[in-house]
Amino acid sequence: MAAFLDRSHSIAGPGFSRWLVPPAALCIHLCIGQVYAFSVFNKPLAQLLCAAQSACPPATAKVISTIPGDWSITDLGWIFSLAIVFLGLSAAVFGRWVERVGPRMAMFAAAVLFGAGLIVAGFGTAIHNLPIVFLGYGVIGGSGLGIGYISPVSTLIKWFPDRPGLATGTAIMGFGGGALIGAPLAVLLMKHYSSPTSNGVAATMVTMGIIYFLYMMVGALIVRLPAVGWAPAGYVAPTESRGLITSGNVLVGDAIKTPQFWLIWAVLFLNVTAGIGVLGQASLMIQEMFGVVAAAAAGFVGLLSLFNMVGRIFWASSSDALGRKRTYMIFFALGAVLYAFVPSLGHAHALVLFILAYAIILSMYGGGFATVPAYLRDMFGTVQVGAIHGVLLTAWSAAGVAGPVLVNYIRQYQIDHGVAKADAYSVTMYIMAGLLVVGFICNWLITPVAQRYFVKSGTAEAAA
Amino acid sequence: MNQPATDGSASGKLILAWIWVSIPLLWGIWVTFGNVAKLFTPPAAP
Repeated sequence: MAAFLDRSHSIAGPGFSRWLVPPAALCIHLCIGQVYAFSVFNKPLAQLLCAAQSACPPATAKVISTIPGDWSITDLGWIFSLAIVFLGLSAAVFGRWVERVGPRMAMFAAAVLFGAGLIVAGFGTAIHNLPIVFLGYGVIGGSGLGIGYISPVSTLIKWFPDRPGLATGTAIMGFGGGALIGAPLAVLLMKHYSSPTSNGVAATMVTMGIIYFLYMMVGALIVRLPAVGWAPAGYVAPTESRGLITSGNVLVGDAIKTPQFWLIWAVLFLNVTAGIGVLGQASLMIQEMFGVVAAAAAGFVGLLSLFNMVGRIFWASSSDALGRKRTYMIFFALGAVLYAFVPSLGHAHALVLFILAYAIILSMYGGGFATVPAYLRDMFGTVQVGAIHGVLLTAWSAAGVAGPVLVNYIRQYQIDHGVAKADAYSVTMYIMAGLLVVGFICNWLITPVAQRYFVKSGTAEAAA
Repeated sequence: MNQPATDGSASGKLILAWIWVSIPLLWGIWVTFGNVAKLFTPPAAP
């Protein structure tokens, strides 16, 4: 087993198609993207005790449970936040390990951790112990998320030196698509397992842990690394740096000393902060601004998820032609304009234009995630791009906390000061537009990395 | 060391791998479209 997982056993033989690597990556990302759909568990988790006594309030009631001891939605919100924090931390801590052991071992570790995380969370749910759920999904599952997220990235970049944006965009598109699968799968399983005294959430988590483990293992089985010196037919590696695209390599320890790394960190942080806060509020926002019913609001969230997914492949592959810096310029400029117009569209009750504006914003939110590995590859080379990407994902963790807090706090502050609920989003949108302007400036300041940070070719090969 | 993108023996695996990842994704998109349709459906009269 250990030999099979070893890096040397996952080197591709002659005739291996590099187009097998994106589906291997998708096996991982389609599963771990389930984290975006975790909110589907929130209400059932908040009704465990009342469900056991067949005493839950009706769906239309304002309270979720009247039984003392049932968990609150606020407490349950920490499960998602913990998972995102551990995603960033594990990606940063294990980035170099992932580069060293290769994608198969990393994908196996991710499958074990993510699957086990769901199973432990299911156990914690069954015995009604919230710290065990935090440990299971938040810490163990979150660590699987981080390792799984970065595990195929550098492999894809090595297989597709001619189209790195397309390759990483395909994998990271899977993370967006994971929510589209995870939510209905959880609903289906909870329905299957529900009984008069249980809403089936614990059994659903355990089943999903097993399904996701097996599905992710398929990715670990089919992934391969290219042999040293391999290149696709007709591809000639550039021997000189062109603009921001380097022909050299920077190691992770040096990359984090460059201003360029921290500017890209800020670019990702600001792009994610602007998107994530609104994504979490989307359902409530369209209901309060346009008075649509909850089912239609769920449709709005679904549409945003679709654009979040499609934007990943669209923008990342477009960036191969447009250039990464120009692509982010579009994200920030267009995003700022759209955010600034959203309140006016709300006041004018222009529902279709409002939806269209958000769909484009969310496509660029997803695009920001999917384009950033190729941006790092352009700036720092391929040798330790996975590890550098891992450290960069701490920006996501930070934004995962800052974005929702910012949006919720601003909204609540305005409501407390007498602003109507439907109007309370306006200031938030203008602040988001402001954040994107700052992001535009950070991106604009990015210049090629100074030569002193690049390693000599022998050192780069040793680090590969 | 340039190498062709694929050869005959890899084609079967390639098709299977893409089917494997497409099925759950298309199912998820299908379900999501069902919800999106509700956004543009007028609510039923009480």
